[in-house]
Amino acid sequence: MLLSLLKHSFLRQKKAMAMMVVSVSMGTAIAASLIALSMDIKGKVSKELRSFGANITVTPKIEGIAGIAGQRRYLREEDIIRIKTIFWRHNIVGIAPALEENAELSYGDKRRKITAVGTWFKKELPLPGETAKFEAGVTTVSPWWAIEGSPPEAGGVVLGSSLSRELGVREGDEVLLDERPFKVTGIVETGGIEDGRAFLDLWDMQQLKGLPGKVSTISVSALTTPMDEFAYKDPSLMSRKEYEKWYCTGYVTSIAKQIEEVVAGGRAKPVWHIAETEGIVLGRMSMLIYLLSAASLLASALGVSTTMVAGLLRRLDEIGLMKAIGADGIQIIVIFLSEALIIGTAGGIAGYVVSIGVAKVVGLKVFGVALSERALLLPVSVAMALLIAAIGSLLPIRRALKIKPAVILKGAR
Amino acid sequence: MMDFITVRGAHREYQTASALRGVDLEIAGGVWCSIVGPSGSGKSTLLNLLGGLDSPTKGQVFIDGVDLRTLSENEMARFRREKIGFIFQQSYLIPYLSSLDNVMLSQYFHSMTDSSEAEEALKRVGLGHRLHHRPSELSGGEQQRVTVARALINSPKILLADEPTGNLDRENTKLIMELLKRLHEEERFTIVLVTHDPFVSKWAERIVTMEDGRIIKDEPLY
Amino acid sequence: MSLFISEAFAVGIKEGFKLWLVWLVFSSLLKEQDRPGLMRPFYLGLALTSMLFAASFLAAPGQQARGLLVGLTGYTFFIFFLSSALALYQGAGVNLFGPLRLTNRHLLRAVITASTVFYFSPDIIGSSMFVRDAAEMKASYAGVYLSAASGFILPLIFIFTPVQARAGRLVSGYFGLPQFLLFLSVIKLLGGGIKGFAEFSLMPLVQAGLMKFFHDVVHQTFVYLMVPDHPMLNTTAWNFVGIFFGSNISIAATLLLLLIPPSVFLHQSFLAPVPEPGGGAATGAERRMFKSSVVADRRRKAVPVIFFMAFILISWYSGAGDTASRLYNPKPKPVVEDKGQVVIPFTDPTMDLLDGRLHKFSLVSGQEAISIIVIKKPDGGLAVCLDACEICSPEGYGQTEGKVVCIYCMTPIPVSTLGRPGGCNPIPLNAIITERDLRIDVAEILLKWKDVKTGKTKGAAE
Repeated sequence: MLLSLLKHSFLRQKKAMAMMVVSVSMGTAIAASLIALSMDIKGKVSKELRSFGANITVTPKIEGIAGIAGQRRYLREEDIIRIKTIFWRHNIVGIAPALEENAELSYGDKRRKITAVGTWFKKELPLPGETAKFEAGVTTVSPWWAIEGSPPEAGGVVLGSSLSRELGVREGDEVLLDERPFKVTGIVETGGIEDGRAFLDLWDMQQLKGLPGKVSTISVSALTTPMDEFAYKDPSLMSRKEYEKWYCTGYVTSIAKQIEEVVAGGRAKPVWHIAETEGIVLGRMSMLIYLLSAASLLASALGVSTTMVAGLLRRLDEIGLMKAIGADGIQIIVIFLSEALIIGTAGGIAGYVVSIGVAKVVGLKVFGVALSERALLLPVSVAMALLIAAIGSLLPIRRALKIKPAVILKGAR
Repeated sequence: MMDFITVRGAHREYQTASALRGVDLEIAGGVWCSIVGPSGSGKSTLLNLLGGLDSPTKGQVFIDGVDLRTLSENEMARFRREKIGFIFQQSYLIPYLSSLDNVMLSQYFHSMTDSSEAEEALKRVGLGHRLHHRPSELSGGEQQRVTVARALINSPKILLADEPTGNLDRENTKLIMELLKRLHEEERFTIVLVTHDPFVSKWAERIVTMEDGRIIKDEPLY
Repeated sequence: MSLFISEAFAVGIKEGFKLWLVWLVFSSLLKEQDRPGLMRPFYLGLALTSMLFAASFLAAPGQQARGLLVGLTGYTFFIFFLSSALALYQGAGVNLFGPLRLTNRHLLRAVITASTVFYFSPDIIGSSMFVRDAAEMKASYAGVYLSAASGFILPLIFIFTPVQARAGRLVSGYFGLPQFLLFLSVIKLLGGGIKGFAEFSLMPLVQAGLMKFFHDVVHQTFVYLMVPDHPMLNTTAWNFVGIFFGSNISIAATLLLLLIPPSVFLHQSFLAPVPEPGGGAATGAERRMFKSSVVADRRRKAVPVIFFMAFILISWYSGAGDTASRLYNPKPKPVVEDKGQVVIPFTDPTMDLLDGRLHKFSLVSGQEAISIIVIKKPDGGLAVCLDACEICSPEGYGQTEGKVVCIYCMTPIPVSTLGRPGGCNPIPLNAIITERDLRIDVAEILLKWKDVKTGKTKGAAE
């Protein structure tokens, strides 16, 4: 009986029903593609944060009079390989030194004060006491750097993308760095501050600045155990058993501590606060996305509600009659909710299909990557659509329940 | 013992006028009772009170020992579908459902549908050949017979009829009245029938006459 | 608030909430069936449980008892689930219970008491052990114990409020005995874990257990069907068979195993013929009324079953990801000494040593089983090591995507560095690698194993 009632209800108000399905599917599509976006971005970013990148930086310790006088201190290049001798040597998967100094870059008649960085792009280091070699360099700690051209050899330089655009320099041109000529072997784009810098081989930089054997920072990429509460404990307050476990556990803190021990005058710090700030930004962004989704869902719920109320007004007599022959509130609610269920399911599936397309286009336009479709979003979309339809039918149901059975009778008003 | 239907001091006042001004009425179970009177005498209002479609502003209505005031809206709906059958002046069928579906809708709200039983009921009112026609494809008399089948499908204890033949010609009126008489004799439910047509009212066992919201005459016919 | 304290609080709330829920549903079920007297054996069971709890708390059991408890929680789930399945079949009209009917009143009471103890004590004792651990780590006994206790008591307050009566009215009518048993097993499944946040629910345990069961069944069947020397039994055939061992298929199969009984019940509930009223109901209306009340009752009783099925499905789905990313830790394959050497062939019907997965072998020497790991490295070489490192307790290693992980301290180790000594790396073994197998001197294994043990004893004596 219910099926027959629903069938007739849909057949008689095709337009209104189609309107409601469209309204639900639009709201669902927007919400679903927003959620897909947020899931994807979060996934991509956190994956990158987790799997790549330096997670420990070593900088010179600043202390005593040198700290007050602001005199620069340096690390020694020969200490770099000692990082591969610590207890956790096998977990060190990438090392890149850097010597950062201010320099003047000129090309034709254009001049710029820039930061020049001497580093290794890719360099095989012999391991002490082992036959295997270790590959160090920027590519091991920052694999996302996109270099057009080739890494700088002796006498070569790689310019950041915005710097090269500003100066109009192309690969193969010659630039002057502190009045010394260098050949541009490539352009690097990272999306970070590196885009405004110039990179040359560490040895060249040391010669240029007269700092032989010196580096200013060492970035280390280590495979670590995720931090848990235990990891945040102060090692000096641990019991012997705990300390043993801490020592045997590759937390980023314990690895950093051991690096500090082998790099003279160095201070090794985990760089997790970068990840934390990114996390905050991501959190705010997904908050915004959820708010937007909620707003679009609400809007389409309103659409459903007004259409349904309009349909209801045409069916007042019918509902009055049903009540007169004995339909109670629950039975009336069942009829309306079943309609909402059908509208919601249809709208949810349609919305999901639309959202796949939307997420693809938006992802490509805004983020430059096609977002992967997720099967999980189908049930989520349908659930959201059902929610919209249910919320939208709340008001019509209230109206329907208020109808007195006597409306159809002559003489009573 | 209390009668099957008991009305005590029922008043029904609307904002501008009062339709009932103190009605006392007792009807025994299984009796066919007609209520007659000029229009505006309050007879339809009284019927609505009996069917729980309206409630008195003062006074009480008992049906089968139940004080209708004590029922909530949903309990009232349940009471209606289990105890009462309605026939209205206009046929009031759901326009897009076939006659069979209209009868089955009543079954659905009552408990569950049973199409063979509904078919049987339509055959009893002589509509075995009109099962799948919509109301618009039926004559006025046929529509009213569908209403009779629908009203009686759940074996109610009372049949409330408000000008059931108001829109019918004499021949169809006679057909409906004969049908009601036959069914009443078979099942002995109580009938309260409101009409101003003396031809219709005289089928009853008792005639109550109303005027100006009061009962002025109450006479048994047999 | 410290993580330990909040974790203890959460564990307390979980246990308390479980107790409250079961209490609520059981009492309303008894009220519905008009047998409130059966609450007494339930209370007796609770009293016995708390005595057990107190005893265990004073005795402070060790690791071994804990392992036993973890197993026990898993079994309680299966037993309650199995009996709910039986009861569901019974409810669906399949008469499996007939001879098992509990007609004896005393026996029924004893069963209720025993089930109560069996149901609650593993969780409560296990959770209290967890709380004790947390307290020891935190070294602030009062705070941790207090927060656990207050968490436990919090949900129980409901018992004395009108919430209890209202919630009880709400659930009555929806629960019969099968639904109640199913409810018990689902509660167990979702909240039966006794390892704090790390394992709040029994899901991973049950999943792993079921998958192992499935795996073993498939394995045994194929081993039985195919005589090992049969020419048909080449690697390709085994690879094909391997599809059945794949985690996706196992997950689906185990899920099927769990969902069959409720599905049968639902099928019966919705499609079984509705009985006609007895005693010759007079009118059609009365007949329909009777039948619709039967249908309505069936629907009501189906609601919790559908609800639990959805719950199992959802948590299975979300839990499946966990299991996939969990450590792959194969069972060691026994190997034996042969002329002073252990010989491990590269391929045999049950495995392919060069597939890039972690392989474990165990050599029995005297009282001990020494575990050896073998894995193919990205550069093509084979790493052959003891399944232990110089420092940690020898709990061995597991594998996740691209890494080998120390099970004790969860330190990831790049596969390419395996075979090199030092750090948290497993202790390398010198192996002779021929064209078709690798050979290790038993003397070498025993020597390095002795180092591990003495190293450990030295560490403990420090």
